[in-house]
Amino acid sequence: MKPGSSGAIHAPRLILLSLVLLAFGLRLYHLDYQSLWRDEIDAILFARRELSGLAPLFVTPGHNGPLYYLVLHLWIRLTGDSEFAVRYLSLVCGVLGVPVVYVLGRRWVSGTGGSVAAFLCATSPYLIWYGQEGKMYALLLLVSAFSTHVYLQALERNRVYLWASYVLLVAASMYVHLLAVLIVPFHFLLFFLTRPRHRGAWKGWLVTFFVLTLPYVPLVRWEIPLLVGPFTTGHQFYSLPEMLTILFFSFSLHAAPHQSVLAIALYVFLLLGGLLLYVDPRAASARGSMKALLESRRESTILGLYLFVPVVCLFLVSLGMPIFTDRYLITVVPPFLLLLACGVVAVRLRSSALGIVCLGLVLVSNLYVVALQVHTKIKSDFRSAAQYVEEDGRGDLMVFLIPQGRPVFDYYHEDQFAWADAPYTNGGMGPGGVTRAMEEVTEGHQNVWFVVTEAELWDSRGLVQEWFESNSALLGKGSFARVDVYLYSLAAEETGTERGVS
Amino acid sequence: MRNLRRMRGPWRGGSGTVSSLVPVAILSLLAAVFMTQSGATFAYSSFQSPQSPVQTPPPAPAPTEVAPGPPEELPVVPPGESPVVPAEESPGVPPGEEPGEVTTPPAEPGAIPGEEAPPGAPTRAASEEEASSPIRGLSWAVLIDTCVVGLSSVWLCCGGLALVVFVLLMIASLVLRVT
Repeated sequence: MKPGSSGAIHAPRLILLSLVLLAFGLRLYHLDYQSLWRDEIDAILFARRELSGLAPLFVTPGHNGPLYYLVLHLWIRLTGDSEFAVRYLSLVCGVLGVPVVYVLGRRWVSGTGGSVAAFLCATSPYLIWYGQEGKMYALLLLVSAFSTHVYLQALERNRVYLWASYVLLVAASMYVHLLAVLIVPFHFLLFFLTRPRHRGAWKGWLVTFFVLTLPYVPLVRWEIPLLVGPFTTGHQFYSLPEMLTILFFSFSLHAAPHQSVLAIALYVFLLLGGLLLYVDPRAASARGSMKALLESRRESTILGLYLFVPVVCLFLVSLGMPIFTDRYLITVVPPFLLLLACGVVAVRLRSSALGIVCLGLVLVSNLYVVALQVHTKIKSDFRSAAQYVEEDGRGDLMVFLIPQGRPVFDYYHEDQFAWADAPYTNGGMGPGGVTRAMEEVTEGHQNVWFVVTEAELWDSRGLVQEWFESNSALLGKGSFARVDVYLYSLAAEETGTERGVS
Repeated sequence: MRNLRRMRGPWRGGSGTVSSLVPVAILSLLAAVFMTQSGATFAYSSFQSPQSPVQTPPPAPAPTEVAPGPPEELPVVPPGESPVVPAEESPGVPPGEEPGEVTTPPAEPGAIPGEEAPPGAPTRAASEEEASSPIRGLSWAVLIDTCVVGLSSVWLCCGGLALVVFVLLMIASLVLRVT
């Protein structure tokens, strides 16, 4: 077939379509296998609010993603709020991310590089995980990556509608997640790195960056006092190398319980290959001068900055207020994948067979981890816990440890129980205080369900559990992923047969 | 090495040599060994509670009130410490989902008079110490953080000012055009 014929033109589209379908299939499979966890339930509860109740969230301190709740609100009006429906929104966003990564790859690497990057995006365990979670992260990645694409378009074409679209997308991403703003410093630097190509666009660029401050004003109104004030986040502090290591593991092997040295080495090899060995073939033809050398490394340098600038910015913020969590930086997954694609292309240029072997090994690793993710109960399994309680049929009170478990339990458990929260003991409360609090809480009740999840956040010494063990008889126990339920009889004379489930 | 350079067939690509991959491969292997032995937090163990286990969610209010905010999603202020801003409100549970019978509200953390933490028990202060930055006390860390905040403020001020000027110029040009 001659180059340029219709078949050759359609081949990349067919590849992309296949990758989109692959991404869809991988995200759809066992979409509702994991039980909803407390963050997803919170998103649902926010989204169930009326619009009048959602609007204030846009200016309320501490809200990560008011725009996502708004989108989810409209979505569940159409589809309902079942696990499948809520997560399907993230699935759609995750699938749409594949063509966006492809377009970025085609621009920064090559046609092949774009396809490899889209392939990695479609099969990435990390992206599949968040493409199956009823939270804002898949949408965040989509909006953020698309804003980068539109920004590059605006720099090239310098059209008002493109600049306006860019402002809207960045503003939207800020309200999908607060830390999306960390991509803006990279965009700022990108202008200077590509300036010779886009010299005429500086006026539009300048105005855009000034206008970009406007949507941020409502956020900064509460963010600045928070940053300079004596506010503690509860997040652990991580050094920059620790942050980078965590991000690397998350983006590559994600749910793999055992980190194989060879698997890690493969990812490091491709990443370093992308950073150090990848040379832009268009610029590499002009050999000899230092300028030509720098020109040929520009794309990998840009991708390196795309990957590291938001991470370094978050680290700087974390120096005063630790706030690092890997998913907050999901916006840097595209450059990570693009650099891996650069690595594959760089290896392929040296040895096509080795390039294919590397890509094949990444695919094997991805599919292995994805298989683990969708066949292992990883999130707190409140669905099974609620089913266990329902099947048992006894009990007249539910005590929750931690309180955040109650809305999750309620989502799965139709019948209403009287309920109470276990006392918070991490503040220093001793056994005497626990006794008084628990006697007050359980007064007048005979059979009490004790639902325990993430107990270390609330009662790290296990005092509440001790109280139950010394003041009641265990009638039944169910252990599920990250959730345990116990049925205790508070009547001293009553004893029953223990029912255990693992 | 010479043999590597002479490689032909499928192991030979369009440009460069396979030998140039060897240092990168060795470096990757060393980095992988270092990373696996560094005791880094693996993603598997941090799905649901990525933050330190010493994190303390805010105290639970009475069941009839709005539940406390999810500890994962927002910066949480430990109990007893008055936040600069009100803590995030968790979504209210619709009335139909409230339990039929409301039990006695649980004790407010630390509200029991005369209650003392047993010796050796982890106290909130200790937890906070671990949870917050270990280099928080260092002046350079605070300085960098203040610089970041300052830069953000300057950016905003400049942006706001430039916008005002831009709008004024637009109005002026329109007025001039009309006149």
